[in-house]
Amino acid sequence: MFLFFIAFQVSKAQDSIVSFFNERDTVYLYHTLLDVYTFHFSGVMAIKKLETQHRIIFSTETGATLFDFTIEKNKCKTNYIMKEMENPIFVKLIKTDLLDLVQSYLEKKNYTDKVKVSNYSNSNFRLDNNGNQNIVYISGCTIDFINNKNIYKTISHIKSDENGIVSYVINIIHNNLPIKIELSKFYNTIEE
Amino acid sequence: MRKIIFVLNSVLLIWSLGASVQAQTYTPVKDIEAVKQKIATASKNMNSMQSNFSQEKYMSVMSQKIQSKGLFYFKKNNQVRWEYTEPYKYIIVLAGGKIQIKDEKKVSEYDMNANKAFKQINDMMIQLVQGNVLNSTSYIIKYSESSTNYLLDMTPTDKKLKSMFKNIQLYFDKNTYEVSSFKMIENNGDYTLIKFSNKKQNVAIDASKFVLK
Repeated sequence: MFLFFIAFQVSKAQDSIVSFFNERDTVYLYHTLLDVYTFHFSGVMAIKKLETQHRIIFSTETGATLFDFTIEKNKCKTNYIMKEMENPIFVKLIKTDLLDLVQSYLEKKNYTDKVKVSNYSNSNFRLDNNGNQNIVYISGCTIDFINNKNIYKTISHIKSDENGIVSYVINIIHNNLPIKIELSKFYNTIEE
Repeated sequence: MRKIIFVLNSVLLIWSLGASVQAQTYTPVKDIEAVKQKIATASKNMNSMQSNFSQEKYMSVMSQKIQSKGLFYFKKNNQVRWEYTEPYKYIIVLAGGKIQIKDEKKVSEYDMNANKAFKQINDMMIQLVQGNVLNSTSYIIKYSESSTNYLLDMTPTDKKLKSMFKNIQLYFDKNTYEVSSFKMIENNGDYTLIKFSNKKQNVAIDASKFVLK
C-alpha cells in the first residue's frame, strides 16, 4: 500500500514537474537554508510568478531582507542585496541556482524540439540549457544538470501537492561544490 | 481546516491589536531626558525576558502579509531564542558566538562571526529588544508619546544600517518603560512588525533553552 502511494505521488509529479513556480500572481513561500561555501543563511524565501518574471525575495526569519532578485528570460537582476552578501562568487552561484530553480523549463512542450541524445536511457526528456552545453535530465521529481556526462547539480522536488504545482520540500545539491540549498514549504501558497 | 481558521483568527486578533497601537495619536515628548533615564533604567535592570511574539512581514510584491508567531527568550549577555510555532515550527538560537537553527528535520549550527550579515542583524535586534539604543550614534531618534506608549522613531545614520532600513520604530509601554513592539521599515517601504505579549522579565530561564540538540 505504501509503495503504491509512493508510485502514485511520483506519477503525479512526472506529469507536472515543469510547472513549478509557474502559476501567475501566486506567491510561493519557503523556509530556506542556504549553505554556499562559507555563507550560511536561514530565512524565508518568497517566490512570486509575474507575467514574464519571477521575483525572489529572501529575508531572515525575523524579517530583514537579505536579497531581492528579479528573474526574466534567463537573466537575474539584483533589486537589493545586503552589503555583507555582496560577494561576487556567492551572488553568481545563488543567482544561477535560483534561475535553474524557477526556470526549470516552464513549458515542457516548448522544449521537445531541443531534445538531445545522451547516455541516460530512462529520461523523460533532455534539452539544452538555453544555449549552454549542459544537459538537463528530468526524471520524476528530480532534475539533474549534466556536464560532460557527470551530474554536477541536482534539484529534487519532494512531495508535491495534489495538482503537482507546489513542492513541499526542494533540495538543490551540488556534487562538486560545497553548495546546498533546502527549501521547505512555509505557508499556504498565496494567490494574489 | 478548523485549526487553520483558528490560527488565522488568532493572527488577525493579534494583528488588529497591533494596528490599534500603531493607530494612536502621537505628540512630541516634552521632557526627553526624563523618558530616556527611565527607559535606560528599565533596560539596565532587564537580565532576562520571556514572551510571546507575533510577527508581520509586509512586502510590496504581496497583497497579503506574512504572519507568524511564537515564543521569545532573552538572557544577558546576548543569548536569544526565537521559537516559531506558527505557521511553521522552527527555532533559532543565538548564543556563545553560534547560530543554531532547528527545523522539523535537524539542527544546523554556524559560527556567527563567519556570518557578518546575521551577526549585524542580531546585534541590532538585541539592542531593540532591550531598549538599549538611547546613546547609540547609529541613529537620529525622535521621541513621541501617546496615552499608553512612547515611540522612538529612529533614522539610521550608520552606513550599513542605512542601506538596510529607512527607519525603525520602537514602542515602549508607558507604565513599565519596556519595549512592547518594534517596526523595521526597509528603504523600499517593506516592513516587519514584531509585537511582544505576556512578557515576563527577570524570570529564571534554563540554560538548555539556548542550546539546541
